[in-house]
Amino acid sequence: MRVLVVEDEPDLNRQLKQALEDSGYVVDAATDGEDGHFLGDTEPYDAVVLDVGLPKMDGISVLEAWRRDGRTMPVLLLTARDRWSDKVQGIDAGADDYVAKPFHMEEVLARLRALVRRAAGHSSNEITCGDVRLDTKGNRVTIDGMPLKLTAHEYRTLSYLMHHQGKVISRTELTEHLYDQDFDRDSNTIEVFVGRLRKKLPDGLIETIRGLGYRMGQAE
Amino acid sequence: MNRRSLPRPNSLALRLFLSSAALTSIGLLAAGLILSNLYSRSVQQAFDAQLEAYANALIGALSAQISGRSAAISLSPPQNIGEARFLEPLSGWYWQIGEGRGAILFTSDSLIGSSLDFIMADSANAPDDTLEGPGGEAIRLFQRSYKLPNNSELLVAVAGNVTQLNRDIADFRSSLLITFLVFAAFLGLAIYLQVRVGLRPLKSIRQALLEVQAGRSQKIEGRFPSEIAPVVEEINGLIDANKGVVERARTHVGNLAHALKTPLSVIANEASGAGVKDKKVTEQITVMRDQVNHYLSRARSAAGLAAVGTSTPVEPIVDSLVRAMEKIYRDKDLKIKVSMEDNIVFRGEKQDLEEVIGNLVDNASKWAASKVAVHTRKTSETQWILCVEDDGPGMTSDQCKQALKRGERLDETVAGSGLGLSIVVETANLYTGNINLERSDLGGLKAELTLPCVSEA
Repeated sequence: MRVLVVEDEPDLNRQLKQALEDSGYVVDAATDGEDGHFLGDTEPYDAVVLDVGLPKMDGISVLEAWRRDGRTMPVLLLTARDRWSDKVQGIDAGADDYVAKPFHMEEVLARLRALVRRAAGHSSNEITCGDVRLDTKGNRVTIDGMPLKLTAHEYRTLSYLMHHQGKVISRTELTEHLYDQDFDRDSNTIEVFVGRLRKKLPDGLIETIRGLGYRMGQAE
Repeated sequence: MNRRSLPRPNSLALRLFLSSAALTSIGLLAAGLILSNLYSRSVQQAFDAQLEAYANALIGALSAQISGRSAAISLSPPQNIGEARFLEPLSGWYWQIGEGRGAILFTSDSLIGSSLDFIMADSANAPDDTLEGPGGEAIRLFQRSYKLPNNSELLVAVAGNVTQLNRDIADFRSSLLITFLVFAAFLGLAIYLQVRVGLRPLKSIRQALLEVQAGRSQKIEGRFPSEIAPVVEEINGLIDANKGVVERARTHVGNLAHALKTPLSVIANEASGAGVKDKKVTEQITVMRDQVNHYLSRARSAAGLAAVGTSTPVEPIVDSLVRAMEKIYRDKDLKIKVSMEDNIVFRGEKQDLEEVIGNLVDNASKWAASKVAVHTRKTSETQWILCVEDDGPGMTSDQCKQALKRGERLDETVAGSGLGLSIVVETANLYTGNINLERSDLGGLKAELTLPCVSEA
């Protein structure tokens, strides 16, 4: 899962990036509204954490511009202006949720998890595919109740595929959502991770659709 | 010794009326006196001219014969000069012809043996030329000396009864008084109407200010006379300046919030470990956050109250907040039922109303199983009720009392109790409204908030 953090306060930006990476997300960060808007406009993110008070272009304007251009990724607003008028303005501009500053990082992570899950059409923190169960809150995977040991990259790959069950995910899409913007898109690392995952998961769970990509679960 | 001044009337209209009435009364009194004197003098002069004419007629009617070397002149009594009142005894109309201040030669029949000598002697001392005649009547006297050819002197005195003259003057004065009284009454009415019409724009300003105060109007509107228009402009300027100050204060408060909350977030996240110090820092940050929110909320609401003439239609606020809640709580598949009475206008700041409704509906949505109901209705011309209910677990009556008590103890209140009620209770108190919590028919909590509204009158 790839997330964009747009926050102008360098320490808070760093903390958010770190906490999100620790939770298994791939994170790009921007420190002003213009950079944030550019990244959100050009890269496919699964969610955005967007501060309202940003230099160069404020968060609400960034959000409105994205929505105007048809960007539908879930956006979590961070706002120090926590009056209802500010919240309503943010939600009317297209935000999916808000967190008032000062916040506990767990709250941001929980809200973001819910947004990503909801965007993929899941209502619970736990996503299952056959005998495999993904706990998005605890970042754990079990097969028949037995914990499965995965590396961070393997977990991200499995998580993305399970969030989008039934959909054919191309290698490019998987690369775009599992690596940050500096990653070399031409490498075949994805195939290596999918291969490792297949060895750890029940047979046939990850299907290769020739010329198109990978699919988990039943076709939509 | 202190001079005790008379209390001044507080009413501007009364002041204008009394001062105008006093000046008009003095003017009318002076005019009456002048007119009366002019009339008296005029009729007296005409009377004196008549007496003079009689004197001339008497001289003309004298028959004179000159005899001997001494050229002595013998005079015979004048013939009738055509005035019957000189024949009527003690009629008040008399004449007398004498030789200088010496012997009386002839008198009118009306004198019946007396003379005008003593009257003539008194005339020098009579202040208004009115003397008392032989019959006790009021008379005026005219005297003139005529020189005869032998250098002897004739003194002719003619007196006339002024009873009728005085009666005429008195009649004139009565008529004048009545006329002036009527005139004064008319002028009094005119002054009253003038004051009323003249001060009407002030009444209009007062009404317009009441409209502003009641929140029905944003500024003083209407056309005013050129003398008052600058004052109206100044008052409108003051209202705008007041709103500007409040708005700037709000902006500064918002900036302060932003400036404090971001560093607090950084500190909180740096101290997110499980150590004792981390826990202490986290605990203190929570206290600081709640204090910042609490006092910012109070400052904003107090600033809102300071703004004159603010009013906010309720319906659009409820609609936008319900729309926002449905999006925020879409995971719960929440049904928010809204029923609102038309045209309720909250007498206060938009942001305060948003906070109150936002917190109550957010609270209800947070705890509701699936249903939230929001309704508004007017209870009187100046009050309305916002009722928010849910089908959540609700609160016991003790919990309800406790929640409201916390709001009342403003200085000890720690905002962000988890119910969002603190801001609601404080805002209700600031607007002299009140809040009541009880169990809802839906099964959860029912919060009824009374707030002021703009009357339609």
